Amino acid sequence: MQVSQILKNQASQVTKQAKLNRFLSEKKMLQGLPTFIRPQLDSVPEDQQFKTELQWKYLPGDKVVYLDKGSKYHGNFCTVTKQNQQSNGFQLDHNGPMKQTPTPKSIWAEGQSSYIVPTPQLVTQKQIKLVVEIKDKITNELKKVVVDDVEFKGTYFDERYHKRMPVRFARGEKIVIPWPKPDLPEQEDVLGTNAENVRTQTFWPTSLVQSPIPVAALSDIRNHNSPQQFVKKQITPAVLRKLTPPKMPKTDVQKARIQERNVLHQQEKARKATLTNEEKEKIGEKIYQHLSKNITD
Amino acid sequence: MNIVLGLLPYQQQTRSNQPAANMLPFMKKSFSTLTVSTPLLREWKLVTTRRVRKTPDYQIGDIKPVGVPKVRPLYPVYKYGESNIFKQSNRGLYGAQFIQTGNTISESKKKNRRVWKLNVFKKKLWSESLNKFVNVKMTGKVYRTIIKDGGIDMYLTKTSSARVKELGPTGWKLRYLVLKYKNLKERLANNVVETILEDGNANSSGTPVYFVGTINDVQYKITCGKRKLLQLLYPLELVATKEIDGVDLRFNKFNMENQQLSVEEILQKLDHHGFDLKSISA
Repeated sequence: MQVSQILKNQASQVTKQAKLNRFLSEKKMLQGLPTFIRPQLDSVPEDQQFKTELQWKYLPGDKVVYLDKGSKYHGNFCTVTKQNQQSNGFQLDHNGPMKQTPTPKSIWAEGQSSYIVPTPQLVTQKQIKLVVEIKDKITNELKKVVVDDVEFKGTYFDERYHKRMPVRFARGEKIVIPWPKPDLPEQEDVLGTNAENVRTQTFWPTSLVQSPIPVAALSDIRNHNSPQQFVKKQITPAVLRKLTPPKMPKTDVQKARIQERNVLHQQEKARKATLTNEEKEKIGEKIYQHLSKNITD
Repeated sequence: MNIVLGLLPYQQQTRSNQPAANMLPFMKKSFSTLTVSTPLLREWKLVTTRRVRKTPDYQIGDIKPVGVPKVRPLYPVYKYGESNIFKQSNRGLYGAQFIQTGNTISESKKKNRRVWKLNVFKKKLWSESLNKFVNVKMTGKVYRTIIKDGGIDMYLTKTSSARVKELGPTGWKLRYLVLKYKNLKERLANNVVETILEDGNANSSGTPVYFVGTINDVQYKITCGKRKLLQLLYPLELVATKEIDGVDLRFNKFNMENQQLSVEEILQKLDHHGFDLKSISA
């Protein structure tokens, strides 16, 4: 092995060790925190945290069953309410596992009367399984079926999520399990227009052929002084000046030549333009003679 | 037989007895037996066959090309462009001469490659139209032609197409400057109405008068041009517009409005502002 390769390997090992040390020290620090702040699940290193839907498998809104044989909540049907990024955990609704946690009076909620409060417990992906409602072919009744595992094949654009989503199947089956309806908050701003107002039609074109904009107004639709749109892209007189180099002045010989040519040209023009009456008569006679000769022949 | 480079056969015969006395020892050997393969003539082919980029004919309103220069080019485009070989010829008056190559052939007919360089030197020549010395590199051949033509101005401004090819980029630039200043001088001389000579000073060329006219029944002989008059008028107009409109008048705008006026009209404006016209008249 080359020396450079060995040094590279050593460097990567050192960085790995440093990362691990940092992670462990953080973990130790978290263990020292009081119970109401301390995370219920162990945090996961950043490169192992879930980021995509393929990794998460279940999203908030999905109906799941909690499976933990030792727990009293085993077999409860619940819905996923939240995802915890740091621990790759899921938070379930009130049917899920709860834990009695002591809380200081300073963070009490309204109407709270006891120091001990039941708080929802974070669960791992392995502790839950997806529940799907399927119509029975014979009895036409909805059945709740627990899916052992899910798999993904292909993608589609989901308008509810405003992005491409993978298609979720039950593993080994041809049953598509749709994603839950997202609980996205509607963003409304003081300066923003209402969604209803945006969608209402206020303009009805009278003709498909004729433009609704008058011809005289066409030049004023866009800002011609806008530097980005028009002025910058076109050759202005100032730009044209920069693009055209000066012309070589004429030498004395050239000037004389041009002058001489002009004089000759004018003379020629004058000669052609002015035919005297005598000349005209002469020409007319010649033509008459020629024509009469042809007729007599 | 000894052959001396650059001399005609009959000249070589007369000198054939004495070349060794003038030559250095190392030159003796190389020049002992030598034949000239190509004469040092003008190489038109190397001038006319250069590939020059054609610039399109731009119009106002066309799409702007990429890379517009920040300032206008100072000189007109040289039709034959720059030479890609023997590049020093682009920076002087080389008369379309180029470096030559050939062989020195020894007594045993062995051929050795060699080059013939040009006789290049720097020369400081007086230009009548530029009214200053022009310091340029040139070859001996070009220098001879300049003397024959009667000065560098005459050499640069000859009209023949051979001369244009011969000038090269540097000669072309000098030609532009010479013609430009020559025309300017002529134009100024045409504008002069009369010259007033000083009394008792025979050597002075006299002060030129560009305009003679009467403003408010007083005759003036104005000794400066229209541009100078506009420069004098601008500060007065600036103050006036500031008082009336409260806006600073830009010189560009002022110039656009007033450069079409006749000299008489400008003088009337100056007089209206209370400018002393006697200070610019003789």
